Amino acid sequence: MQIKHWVKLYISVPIILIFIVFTFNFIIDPYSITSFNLLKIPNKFARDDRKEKVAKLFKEERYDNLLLGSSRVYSINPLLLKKYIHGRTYNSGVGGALIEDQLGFLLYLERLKKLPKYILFGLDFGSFNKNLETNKYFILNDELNFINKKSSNNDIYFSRFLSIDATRASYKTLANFIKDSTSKPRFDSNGAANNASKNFTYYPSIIKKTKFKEKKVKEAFDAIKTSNYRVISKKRLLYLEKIISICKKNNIKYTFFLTPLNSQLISKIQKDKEVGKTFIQFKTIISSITEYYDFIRYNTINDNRFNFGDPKHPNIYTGNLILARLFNDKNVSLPENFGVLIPKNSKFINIDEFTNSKL
Amino acid sequence: MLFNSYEFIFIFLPISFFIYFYLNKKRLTIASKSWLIFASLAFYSWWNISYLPLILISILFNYTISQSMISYNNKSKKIIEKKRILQIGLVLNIAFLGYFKYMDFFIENINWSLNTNLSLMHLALPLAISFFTLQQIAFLIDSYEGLVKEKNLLDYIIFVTFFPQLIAGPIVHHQEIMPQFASIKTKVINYKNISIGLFIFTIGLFKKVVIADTFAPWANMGFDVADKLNFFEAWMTSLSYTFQLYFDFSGYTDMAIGAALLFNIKLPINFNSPLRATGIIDYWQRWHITLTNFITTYVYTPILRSFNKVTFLKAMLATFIAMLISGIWHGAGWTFIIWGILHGIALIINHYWKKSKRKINKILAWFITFNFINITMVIFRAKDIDDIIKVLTGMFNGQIVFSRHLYEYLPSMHNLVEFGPWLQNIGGNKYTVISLIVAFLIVLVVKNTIQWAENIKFNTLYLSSGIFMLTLSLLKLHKVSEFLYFNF
Repeated sequence: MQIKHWVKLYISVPIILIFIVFTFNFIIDPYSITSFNLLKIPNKFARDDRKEKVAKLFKEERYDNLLLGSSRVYSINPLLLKKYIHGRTYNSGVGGALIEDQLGFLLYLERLKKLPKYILFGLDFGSFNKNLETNKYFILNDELNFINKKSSNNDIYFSRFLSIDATRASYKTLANFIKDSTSKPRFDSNGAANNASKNFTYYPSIIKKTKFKEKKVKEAFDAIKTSNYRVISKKRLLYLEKIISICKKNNIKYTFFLTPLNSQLISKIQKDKEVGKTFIQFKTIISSITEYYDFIRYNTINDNRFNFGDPKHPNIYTGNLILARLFNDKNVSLPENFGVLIPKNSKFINIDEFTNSKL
Repeated sequence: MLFNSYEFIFIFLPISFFIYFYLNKKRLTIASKSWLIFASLAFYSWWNISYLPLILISILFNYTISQSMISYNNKSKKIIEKKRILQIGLVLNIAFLGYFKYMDFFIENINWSLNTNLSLMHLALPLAISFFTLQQIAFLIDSYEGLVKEKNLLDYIIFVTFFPQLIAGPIVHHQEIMPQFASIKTKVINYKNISIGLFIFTIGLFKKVVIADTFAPWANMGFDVADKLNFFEAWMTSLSYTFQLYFDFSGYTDMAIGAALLFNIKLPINFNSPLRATGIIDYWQRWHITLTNFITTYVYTPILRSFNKVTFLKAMLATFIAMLISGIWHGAGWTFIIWGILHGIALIINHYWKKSKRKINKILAWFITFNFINITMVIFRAKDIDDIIKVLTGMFNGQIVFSRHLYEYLPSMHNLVEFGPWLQNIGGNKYTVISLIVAFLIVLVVKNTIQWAENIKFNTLYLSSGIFMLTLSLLKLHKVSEFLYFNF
């Protein structure tokens, strides 16, 4: 082959390939960056919740109300929240999110100048474990990762249209679409999973006829136990404080709540001396920083396995009830100890009393 | 601007290239050189324009000093004045570097030793200061020795600022570069150089964005949680950093060599499979070769010359001092000083071993050398001495945790070791292990970049492999990450 011809091919072929990849990803648009949706694909498949939600926040105009938290807030209906508080509402919950994700989202929105007026924060008991490492997908996400600043941001369009991740997501989106063109998106346009946005039914009028298996309680507890949860992460408490200071600085109203756990799991936590002690510390320490609604309590709702996808994940009915409690909806009948407002600087009972009594 | 960015690859490099050769084609030599200088300064300023005056002042100062010394070359009686000019030049260059790079380290140590409370200056380190200062120090010394004939300011500015080597080397010697810019051959497009340059650039880009950046999260996370590392995590952390640094820096160098070759400029090689070295002497002849050459010529040799009679002991003392300076050059911190000292000691032991003519099995020699390099990389990377102790404790006294997937296959080990999340603290998984195995194969078995480039064939195999590497790398460019040596 002539050198000149070799050079021309060497330069032109990668450019053509890159152009093809870009066009393919642009047409499929797996993270819904554009508003074209040329192929009318209903179910855009994003490999990482963070990317999908970041892309949505980047693309959309400022939301008035946001939900922030892990997969445990997936089932909270943003449209129901909108009914209570009015304004454009979006559920930014992402699977595996820790408090650093929530701060990451806030800092990202601050950079975009799209901070909302109100934020509902779901806090998970397990996510303040000092031994729990920052989620890998958070680290890989340039928009959210404020910890590892060495990895600097490039334009979001490049990562969503011109990357291996985007190409995989496009491929999967297309494959799913070809297989079943009627399948529903993982998240709806309001950011809620499992069709949560479309369900306004309150407990106990209709109950989804599934309940998680008993062994799931043991698995969930083992996951907490094996992570050796003895110390509350100071770093994460600082992140929580930072979140509050950003909210105050920007006049953002906010509510914190502890995401509910199934009563059987609470019982296991109680009975374990080490984890039980940490649990008490957790509630006390969070209260030293902010007031919050405590949903990790024994009550008829948390007792019922039908109300959870698994012992740590409330389903959409429970999600709706959480909002009913937080916004004091008089039309919904709720047990008193489902979502108790814990004022700032509350002290919880010691471990011995705790293990022998119900909260 | 980073080599591993869309703006460099798709905008800056093609525009610089075409305008440079267009001006040369029109025989506008001064304009073409001026264009290259302008492009190089734009490349430098892209990062932070506030450093531009610093590099310009440094260039003009050193040029003036060198010209003053050159003007003395035919007036041997004024040798004392010439020496004084050199001394002024050296002192001011070192002071310039020292002010920006070492001032806070100096104040911290004053505060610590004298129990004072002087405020730190928190000066940002100007990009590439360590590199362009070294090159210019060499130029001054050679001007003093009468080895510099060039008087053209444009040529001198190109020598210092030529963008492929400006930020992190290779550290070039004026005798290597300035004659090339003067040659008529560099002024016409050379397709062979372009093809080899593109191929080398591609390999470098692939090394950086596909290999080095893969290891970066494991290394970073490992050092961030140094006190929690178990045995395997600690070793994975140190190996990840060793490979990250090697692929990052040698990738940068390949890109520099490749980009320069597009302009018909041959930069010196900087790496020659250093992780295959079977001794520390061998290692320093393969790793950051241009720095080794600089240290040898401008530090080690002058120290040796200062002795009346050279003995083995005195040569070893010079080696030790040279390595100590190399350590200090890399960064302002005790970790770099310890790293330099350890390499100095290792070189002395290696020289002594060679002198005693003892034999050692090659595989064993490689094993010892590699482990020494890997362990000293921990010192090189750690933020402070505490971190060094934590990671080394994990490596030599860490808890042994096996992957829970091995539980059923190793029943005899159930009571001896723990089974569980064995790489959790570094965010690792089975791909960490696979990546390390692949990295070992690449550094030990596969030809290095220079060997590939020397044997390049313009056939479909080279073409398709180059296209594959380039396309894959371009698809990973959205995640821009700096080169590690930008910090030095």
